[in-house]
Amino acid sequence: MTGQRNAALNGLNARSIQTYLAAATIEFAPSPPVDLAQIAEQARGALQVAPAIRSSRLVTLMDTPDQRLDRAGLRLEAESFPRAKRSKTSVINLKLRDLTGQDRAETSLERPSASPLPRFCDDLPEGPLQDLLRPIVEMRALLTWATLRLKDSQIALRDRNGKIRVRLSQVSGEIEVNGVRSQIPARVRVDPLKGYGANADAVAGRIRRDFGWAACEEDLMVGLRRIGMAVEAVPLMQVNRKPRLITDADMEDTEPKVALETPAGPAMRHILGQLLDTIESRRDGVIADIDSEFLHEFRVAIRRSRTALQQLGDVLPAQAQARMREDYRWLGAVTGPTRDLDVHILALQAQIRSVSPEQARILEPLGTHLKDSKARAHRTLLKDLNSTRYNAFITCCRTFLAADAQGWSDTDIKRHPISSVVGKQIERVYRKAVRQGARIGPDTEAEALHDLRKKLKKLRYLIEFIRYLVPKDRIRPFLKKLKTLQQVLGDVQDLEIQTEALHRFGHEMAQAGKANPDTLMAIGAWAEDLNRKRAAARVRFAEVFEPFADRETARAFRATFSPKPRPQAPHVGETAV
Amino acid sequence: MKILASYNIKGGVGKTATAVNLAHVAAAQGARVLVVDLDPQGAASFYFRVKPKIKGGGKGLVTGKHDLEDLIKGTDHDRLDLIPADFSFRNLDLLLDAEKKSEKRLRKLLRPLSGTYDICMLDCPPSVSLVSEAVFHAADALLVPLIPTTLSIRTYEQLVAFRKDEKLKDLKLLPFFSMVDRRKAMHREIVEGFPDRHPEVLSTQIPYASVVERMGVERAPLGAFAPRTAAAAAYETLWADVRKRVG
Repeated sequence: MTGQRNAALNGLNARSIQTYLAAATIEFAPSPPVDLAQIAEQARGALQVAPAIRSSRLVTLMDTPDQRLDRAGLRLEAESFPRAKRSKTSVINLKLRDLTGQDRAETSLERPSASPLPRFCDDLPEGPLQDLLRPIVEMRALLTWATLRLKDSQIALRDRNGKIRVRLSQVSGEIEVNGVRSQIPARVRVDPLKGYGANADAVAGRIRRDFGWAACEEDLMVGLRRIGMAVEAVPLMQVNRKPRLITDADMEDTEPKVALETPAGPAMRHILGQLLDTIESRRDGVIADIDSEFLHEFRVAIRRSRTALQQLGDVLPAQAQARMREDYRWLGAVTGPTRDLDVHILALQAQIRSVSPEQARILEPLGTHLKDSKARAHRTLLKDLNSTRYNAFITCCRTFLAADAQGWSDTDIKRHPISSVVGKQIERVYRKAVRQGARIGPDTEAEALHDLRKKLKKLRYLIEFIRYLVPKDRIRPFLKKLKTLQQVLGDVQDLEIQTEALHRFGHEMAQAGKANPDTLMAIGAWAEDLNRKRAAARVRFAEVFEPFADRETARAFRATFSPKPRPQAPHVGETAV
Repeated sequence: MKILASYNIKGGVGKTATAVNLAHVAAAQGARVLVVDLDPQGAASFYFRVKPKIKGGGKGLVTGKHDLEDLIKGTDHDRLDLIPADFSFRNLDLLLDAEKKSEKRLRKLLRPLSGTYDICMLDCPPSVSLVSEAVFHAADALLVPLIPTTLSIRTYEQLVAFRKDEKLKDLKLLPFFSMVDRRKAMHREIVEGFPDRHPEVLSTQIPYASVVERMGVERAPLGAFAPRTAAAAAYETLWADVRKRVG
């Protein structure tokens, strides 16, 4: 995924040459504040000063919940205004800029007034902006992280023919992030017009000379981002109940980290605590159904926790284990139907992008059917996530995982270093997976491949518990082979499930009279195509299993993960992680 | 980038008003627009208050000696730029004739701008010449303003025949009526009868209006100084029609 994003960024650099060629703007931060008309009069030279035009505007800054645009060095600005006076239609201008303020792409769309801003990449008009955003944003929603209330004052400097040669503008206002408002430091801009750069240089030169201001090196929006970051540190949950952006700290939660010599008991308590934090931080996003990734990450944290409980039971207090295993199993089960429908919807969106507009139109009823089914499944999920059982589960987990909870260091195994305990289990699961895989031939039932896939998921999660304790260059080759094998097994199973689901959806739609023959035929053709892809993935299994299971890999694996004889760790307090 | 050309063999039919007003409407709606003033009279440049002179003149333009980017001037309107006319464009035919594959020269010159602009609007001089041939090969569509008079209709028929003879099948013809005076019976008759022979005609008509003549006084597109007039509204509708046809 990161590779894709990097590729997109490289593409951006190439594209930037082709984007709208606005001449460079020069900005000053006036100190103390000076009236724009006075600046214009002083700096105009032979040009005429036109009357100032004042306006105010609301700019929305958007990013994905995990701030993918910011990480990619980009920002998305949306500005909405009525199509005309008293018009019931609004024009939304969207502009993608890099962090230096340089335009990358822009687009505009018309919506009925008071419509929300576009939320997903697919909601944007086709064109450069969508092309640039798609590989970075993927399936994530675009959320508002800040709103700017800007006051603009603009003065045109005209030549003898009345032609504008330079524009001077002053921007001030405030930024609102998470309900907290901050003043924006005023800026004076000198905007050249293409072909008249010399006039702008002369005006900027006079401002430097007469007012003693140096040109700002940083774009105004970069400064605003810093204000936004400072405000974002305020937990949104204390301000209102809207889902907040996921911070860097939240991102780290999904990759549990512990120190090398941490005793296994307290380390697992810490890891399970981090995973529970992830579950809780994603819950509001799941409830609000912001995008499919909230539920996906919610479920990954559940599966990781279940793996810890199943595979490392010896290092957990017995009482905690029994209760938590049952509740995690329940939570995994109740979130399944909604996630399955999310996956089907994402697959349909990808399919629609790959076919002709006519074929896409034919598949529309399937999209409607999936969205209706998803809405029903989501309503049921909401009941579960707001249930007494869920709240009791969280309370119970927190009690078991509390710093002063007992039973996390009361046996020898719980006092062993985490790397040794998990390493031993990783090796055991790897050996089992190799044995299981070796029994799979070309005619083996799909069930065996599915079991192997589950085993490999457990192996992957176990490795992730301690991956930061192992040198990257040693773990990377193995992880690469594991991921390739998981991908092939995932394709075999997911494509089979998707094919079956398509047939089921077709029947449901036909029974409900929601599909015409064209749609049913298109669904059938798509299912056939998926079946072919599944068969091709099945053939690839032997090819990708062999390097995963060969002697060389097994040897390297043992050298990386096998617990080495270590002196027993001294008894440490349960809070030491 | 879509290349549109405002063209008619006949003069005084509203070609420049069409190019300037449609370009302004498109830019106001968010498109990045470049107007290229190919007419040595430089009326489009005049409307945008830009001096009708370019570095290296017509020769620099046609030979590619001067980078096209360097010839572009920003207008007073957001997202709307102009390559101004030059009096040397009166010899553009001769200059093109000296080049290899002269009819494809303009398209080649404009190609590097395709990532910078969404719309390129060519304001053409009235005539059938090497310049117009180069325009026909460069443009995706010709916007053909027609005054509802017999002579004007005749010139359109000539254009249709020329397109057929030159096998310019990919070039869309988008005729529409301009300077329509509904008080005149002949205007009404021609406007009503024309679609039977030429169903490609756009449904929007630009009415005869003195405010269009005021563009020369205000030196600005209608949308900038008279946005609420019937003529300005007609250009907005016309642009919507053109977008539907051109995509």
